[in-house]
This record gives sequence, C-alpha cells and structure tokens, in this order.
Amino acid sequence: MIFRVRRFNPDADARPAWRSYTVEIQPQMSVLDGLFWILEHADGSLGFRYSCRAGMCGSCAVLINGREDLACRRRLDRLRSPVHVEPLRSLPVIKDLVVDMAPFFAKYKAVDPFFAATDASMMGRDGTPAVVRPDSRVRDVVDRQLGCISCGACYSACPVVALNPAYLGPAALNRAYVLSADVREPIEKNRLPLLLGDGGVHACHDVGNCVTACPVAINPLLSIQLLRKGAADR
Amino acid sequence: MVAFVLGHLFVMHYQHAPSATGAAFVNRRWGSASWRVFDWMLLVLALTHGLVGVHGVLRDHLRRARAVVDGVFAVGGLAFIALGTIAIGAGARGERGGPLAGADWIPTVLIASLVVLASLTYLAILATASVLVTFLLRRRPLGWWNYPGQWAFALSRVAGIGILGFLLLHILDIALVPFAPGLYERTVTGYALPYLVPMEALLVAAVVYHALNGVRLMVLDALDRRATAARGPSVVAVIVVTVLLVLPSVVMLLRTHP
Repeated sequence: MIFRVRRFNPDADARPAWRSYTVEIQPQMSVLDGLFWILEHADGSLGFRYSCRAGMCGSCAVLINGREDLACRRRLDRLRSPVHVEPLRSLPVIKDLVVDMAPFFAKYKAVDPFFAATDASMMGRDGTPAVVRPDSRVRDVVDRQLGCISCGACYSACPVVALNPAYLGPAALNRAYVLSADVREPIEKNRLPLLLGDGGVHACHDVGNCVTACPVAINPLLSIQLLRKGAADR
Repeated sequence: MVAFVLGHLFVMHYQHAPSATGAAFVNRRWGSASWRVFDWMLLVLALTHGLVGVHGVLRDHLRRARAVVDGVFAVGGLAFIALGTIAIGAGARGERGGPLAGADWIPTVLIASLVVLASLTYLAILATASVLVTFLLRRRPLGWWNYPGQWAFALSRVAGIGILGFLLLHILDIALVPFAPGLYERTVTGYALPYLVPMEALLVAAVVYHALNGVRLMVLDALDRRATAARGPSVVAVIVVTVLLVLPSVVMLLRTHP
C-alpha cells in the first residue's frame, strides 16, 4: 500500500512536501502500524506521536485522507491506496506529523477545566445536598460529553479556529459546558465573561466539522448550543 | 423570515419573471395595505439578518478597524431600512413623472452595479470549479473540503453575501417606484440583459439554499446527537432540494427569455 506522508522539518525545510512510501501491510494493521513500518524499514527520520495504541490517549491524532482521526484506530484494510497522512491543522508543526499542542491546551486551560469539590459545593447550589439523579437530563448530556480524550481532532477540524485566533475551540467549550452543568461546581466559578467574549460560544458558526471529526463520538456543538442557551437563561 | 422570503420568491420568480415586474406591477401590489406590510416586514427581517451575517463574516477576517466596520454597518443598515420604509410608505404614485424623473444616471449606476455583482458571482463559480478539479486531478485530500459541513458553511456564507449585495441594490431600485417610476421601469428592463439573466436563477438558488441550510441547522440542533450520522447526508439533501426548487424559476426564465 502506498503511504503519502506530509513531511516538514521547520529547522531544515522551506515548506512541507509529500513523500511516498510503499508499505508492506498485514491483516488488521492500523495507520499507526504503517507509520512504524516506514520508520523501521524506509525512513528512520519520520516523526510521529503515539502512546496507548488503543484509541484512549489521543496522542496519535493526525489527518488521514484529509480527515482527523486516530492513527492507531484506523485500519488499513478499510482504506484504499494511496493513504494520505498529514499533521493536525491550526497547530504549529514540530516535525512531520508531530504538532505543538500548546495553543490547544492554553485555550483548554483558559476555561478553568478542573473540578474542585468543596464542602460548600457538595451541598449544591440551593443549599441542600447535591443530587444528580441517574435519569436527569443534566447527567444524560454530561455523561455523554465527558469522554473527551483531548486529542485535538475537533480543534483541527474547526475552520473558525483557523479564522479567529481568539476562538477557544470545541474541546475547551465542551469542557466548560460539562463543568458548568455540574450542580456541584462552585457557583462563583463564573466563566460567562470568557464564554460570551470574542473567542466564546458566539464565535462558533455551527459548521459541525467537530462533530464529524471527534474519534470518540462526542458532540461539542451540542455543548456550545447548551452554553448559549444557559447564558441566555441567566 | 423563511416564510416571508419563500413567499416573496414564489410570487416574484415562480409566478412572474423579475424583469417583467415593472412599475405597473409594483403599483398594483402596493395598492394593497397587506402587501405593503408584507414587504416592509421582509425588508426589516432580511436586511437585519443579512447585515448581522455579513458583519459576522467580516469580524472573522478583520483584526483591525472593527469599530469602523460596526459603525458603517449600523449607519448603513439604518439608512437602507429608512429608504425602504419611505418607499413602501409612499407607495404607488402612478407610472410616470416623480421628483427624480430627470436623474437618468440612476438606472445606469444600478445596472452597472448588478453587472459587477454578476461578474463576481460568475468568477466565484469558475474559481470554485477550477480549485475542485485541480484537487481531484492531483488526487490529494481536499483539505477542509473533506467535510460536508465545510461545504454547507462556505456555500451559506457566499450565498448570504451575494443575497445581501442584491438586496441593497433591490432596495435602491424599488425606492425609485414612488419617486421616478419611469427610471424604475428602465432599471428593471436592464435586468433582462442576457448577461444578467442567469443571476435571476442564481439568486433563487442562493436564497433557497441559505434558507434551507438554516432550517437544517435548527433541525440538527433539535435532534442533538441522534442526528450525528445525518449531518453529511443532510447537506446533500439540502443541495438536491435547492436544485429541485430552482427548476420552476429556470422554466419561468426560459419562457420569458427564450
């Protein structure tokens, strides 16, 4: 199978270039396995990132045939040759398929993405012990949106991220919703000024690429919609 | 607003060819108070929506001079709403004469502006087709365009900008009806230029697509995660329905401009 990999070394190359490799594939090999084959048999200088190899850590997110995906999960027997592999968009390339995730995590951090329970917060916002019923609408939505693996696929797929440097991006806004919807969160954590600013929920144009791109089937657009409705209700 | 816009399209592009709707047609229509209320509602809703939309597009691309853009849109929007309101309020004044009757340059400027808008539209269509063909021939990923949502987003923006451009010209030309009906007649006759005729169908396509895409997004929002798998097919469905709905206006154009 032919692999076409977008190679770029900012220290040595003027611009990115496509390089072709013929990879000997075995049944059930993934795109990540193909990249390992290139590393071991064709070009030891190829740069790519990986960790868990099980679709849980998000480290190996790349563009496969133009769409964001996890290299460890995409099987080669379901793809046609040639397979195009590129680094994620809207993030600086460190080398080849390795991008600098710092801008992504800086925006993630900006929404105060940590849950810090306090005695007061465990009492709930109305002063009674916090109860999140298993069949509640909040739990229904939050549970589904909690599984983000921070791979950056939605951030890369979002054209608004590329257009508007201030835009927080789908992952950060999804995290902001998950925490804001949690009744145990201290109410003094008011993210509204940030979420309603230039880079907040109203910068999203409902393109929906984030929903299609998410490898763990989260719907960040739903979180953004719910944040908009919540902001309007307050 | 979708109902108002589609109602307007039905009357102006399915029942009549726009170039056949002269001052007499507008006078008849504005003889009815209900049509005047309908037109005024459409003016305010469509213009406000268009200005807010294009303002959003500019804010995505402009990092500087945002205050200037905000001011131009606010003042310009109010001026065009005022002009449209005055025209609809003044209503029918006969088919000849009027205080601006001698201003022969107005139809020339309006038709020239429409020619410019048409040229930009045709160029945009050619550029999109050539980029697409180039990518397909080189057999490389289409970048952002691998996502149906990206097409829906871009088409919606281009359609919205084009519609606003036409709407502004339309407010200027329709304002001639009470003040210089003869000049309005000449302007509308100019719309029958062969170079401009395809724009009538493209305008219908842009409006129908923009409206249906908005409805699509509302439905997807309402369906939440249940609609994730339908996001791509829904874009194709909107394009197919748009093409089907444009066909009657093309038939009308072919009848009027054989």
